[in-house]
Amino acid sequence: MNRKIERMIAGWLREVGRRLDGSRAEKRIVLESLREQVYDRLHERSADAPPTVEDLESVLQEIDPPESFGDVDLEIDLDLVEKSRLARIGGWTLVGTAAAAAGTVLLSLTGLVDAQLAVLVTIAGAVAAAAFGFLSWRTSLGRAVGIVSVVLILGATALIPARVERSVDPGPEQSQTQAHEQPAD
Amino acid sequence: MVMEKWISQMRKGTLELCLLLLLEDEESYGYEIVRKLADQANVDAGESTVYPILARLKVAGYLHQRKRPSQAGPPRNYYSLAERGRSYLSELLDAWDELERGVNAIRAGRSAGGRTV
Repeated sequence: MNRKIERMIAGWLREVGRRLDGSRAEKRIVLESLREQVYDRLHERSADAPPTVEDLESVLQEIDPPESFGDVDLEIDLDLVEKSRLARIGGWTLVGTAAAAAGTVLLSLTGLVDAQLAVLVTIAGAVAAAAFGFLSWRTSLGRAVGIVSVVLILGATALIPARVERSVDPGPEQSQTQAHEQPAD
Repeated sequence: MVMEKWISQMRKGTLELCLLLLLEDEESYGYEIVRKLADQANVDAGESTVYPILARLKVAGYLHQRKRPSQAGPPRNYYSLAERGRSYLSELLDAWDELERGVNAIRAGRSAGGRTV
């Protein structure tokens, strides 16, 4: 393919690029698709011989003109898609995920329940958070809440053995403290 | 002319669904997608409509993209449905079915009403 035709294609694509809306990545995809199409059509027209300027002009006339790329009214609002999903799953699933995780961590670590019960609470909280997280996983906010919940629960789970150990064996320091406190009673 | 315009608008409105359906089972590249939409779906949509939608779907993570060599010139970008795109397509098809059921229910009701009169 001669340089003149390549320059004409590049110039035509620049014209389209100037009119395109959207992100740089989107523009690149549109322009690459158009470039492929121009080459494909030229190949269809003159597979056996190098394409001529007339071939290219004819091909470009068959494609939507550059100015038509500036007034596309079929934009997809993907944010709206995301929002509609969130509305459909309901904010309560996110609240449920966060509440299950926070409740689990609170009950596991603060001593509001004894250590053995904390294990059961953690397991129940993990199951609840996983269920809620699964429901809201298809939204970015849901994923964020799900990941934070899993991290919190794993952190709480990792600390439970230490509590169980302390509750079974108070240890010398605590024994001494208890012994020291007894006369005061 | 009004009817033609209405049909054209309806087809364009379903363009995104048609595009995802075309990519459901096999990968395809831009020009081929435009041709298939015209041939199979009879969708009156040119490059200035189809490619921006394709680009947005790709950037949103609904499509996979890979380059393959082409005899015609530069490598072609082939697109296929990503997992997220399959899920989105499933939602669109549900909405489509719901719409179809609604229209059919109204038509059936009208037919039934017509018979009783």
